[in-house]
Amino acid sequence: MKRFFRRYIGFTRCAIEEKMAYKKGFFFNGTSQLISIFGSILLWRVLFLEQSTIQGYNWDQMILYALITSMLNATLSFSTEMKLSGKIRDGSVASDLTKPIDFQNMCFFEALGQSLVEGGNAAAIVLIIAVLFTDLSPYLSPLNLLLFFFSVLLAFLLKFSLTYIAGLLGFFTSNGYGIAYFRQVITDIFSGAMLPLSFFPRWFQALSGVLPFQASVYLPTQIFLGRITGAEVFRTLGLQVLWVIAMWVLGKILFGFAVRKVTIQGG
Amino acid sequence: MRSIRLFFHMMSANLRGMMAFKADFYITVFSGLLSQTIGLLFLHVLFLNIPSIAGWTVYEVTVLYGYMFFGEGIMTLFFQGTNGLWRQARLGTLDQYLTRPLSMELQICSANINLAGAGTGTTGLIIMFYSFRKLGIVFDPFKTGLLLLSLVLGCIIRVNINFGSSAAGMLTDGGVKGVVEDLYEAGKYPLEIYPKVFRLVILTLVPYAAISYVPASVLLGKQPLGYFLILPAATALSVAMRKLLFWLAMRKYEGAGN
Repeated sequence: MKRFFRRYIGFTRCAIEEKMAYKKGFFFNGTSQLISIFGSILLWRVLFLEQSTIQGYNWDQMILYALITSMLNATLSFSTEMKLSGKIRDGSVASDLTKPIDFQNMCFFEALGQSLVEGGNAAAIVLIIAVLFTDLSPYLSPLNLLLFFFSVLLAFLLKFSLTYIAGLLGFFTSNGYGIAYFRQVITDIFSGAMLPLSFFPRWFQALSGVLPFQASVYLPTQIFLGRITGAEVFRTLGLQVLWVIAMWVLGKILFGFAVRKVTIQGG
Repeated sequence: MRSIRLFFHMMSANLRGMMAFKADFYITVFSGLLSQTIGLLFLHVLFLNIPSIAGWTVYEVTVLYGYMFFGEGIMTLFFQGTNGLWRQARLGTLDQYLTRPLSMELQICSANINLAGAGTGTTGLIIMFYSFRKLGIVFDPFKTGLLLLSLVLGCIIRVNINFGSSAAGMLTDGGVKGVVEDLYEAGKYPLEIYPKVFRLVILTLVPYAAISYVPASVLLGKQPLGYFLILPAATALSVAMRKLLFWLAMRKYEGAGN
């Protein structure tokens, strides 16, 4: 176990250092997230002037929902995803494939490093705004925070597998960008990142319930906001665990096919 | 005249370059359509749960979306080159433009083509006309004239915002460019939802609201006819600012050295 970590943790460290190297880009990423958060706060503010609850969400819950989804979306960002598909496009994946390590693990530990920086940055912004604009106190019990922490961790593992799978599909088409973009749109719609899933028509809720995407965004928010309680919480976490395992294994299987398809462009 | 001919000549070269990768091409056009659809889906689902946004009903808001999509579509289709200006400056590839006996603006505008714009622009027009029909707005010759004028001026503003912010990006290593791009979303909602200072910003400095809100609110009868005058004023301002910023950026540009 210790040897395993020693082997891979270097990738995480490198990714963190690389991410921190561009200070200006780092700063403006934060600005971009802030602008989109304030955009949605302004929209909700007007809507909550006209009604006190929307689909059972009050002001605090709605803003916290938007903030948590914003944080989860900023973690393991599109640029991190593009790094994987970029490797396939420019052929540098070849040198990774010659290393005596597991490709999936390597990608995971790299993404972990980038996500720690992105996630930490996003979490700080989100926390400040949450304190300024909402009353957080009902959600701060140690148990609630602990459950939320586990749920977010599982959500991250799942999101990694989903992006990894999308990245592998780049082996088959050589167009990583299109696929990554498509994955993001699908995720935005079905994960609850756009709006809470309960805002959608019933048939849509049923559909997103059997897909993995909701476990990467929607379920953690529902646990944090206390909209899932009691034994239901553990069933939800269990469902997340199942999706994490299923998608990790699917990634492994797909990789087996992908390396057989690999055509390095140039080089 | 010569400029226009050259512009289309270079665009067709770009197009041929792009068609070389067929799968890429279709995925790009498709993703252009998809990205607009998701915006509309958000609006649709939101309006399943609320009656209006600051007094604007769903079809009134989609008119704003239509204006923004159309301008965005034309911009990405024909003037995509303005987007990468600051990146080109960093790589030093602007040098090759400077050595040619052609205007910089022409070369920058025609540097790239992105067919996703065709999908975006068409979507914009379709939802706009559909919304006007649903709202029962009757178009006499005068209103039709206003509509056409506003679409043209809107595109001019959109291109100048992009060009200007890209030039500003050259002065600030790209940062400003990203912020201005993010503010694009602001044009999709009625001005009433924003704080007063910010309203002024998106009517003058980064006039996204002049593209969409100003003409839409006049056509929908929410503002008096005189309000429309903000649009040509904002257009003139955006052209002037682009010229100034580009001049400043080019003065600072030192090339990449060889």
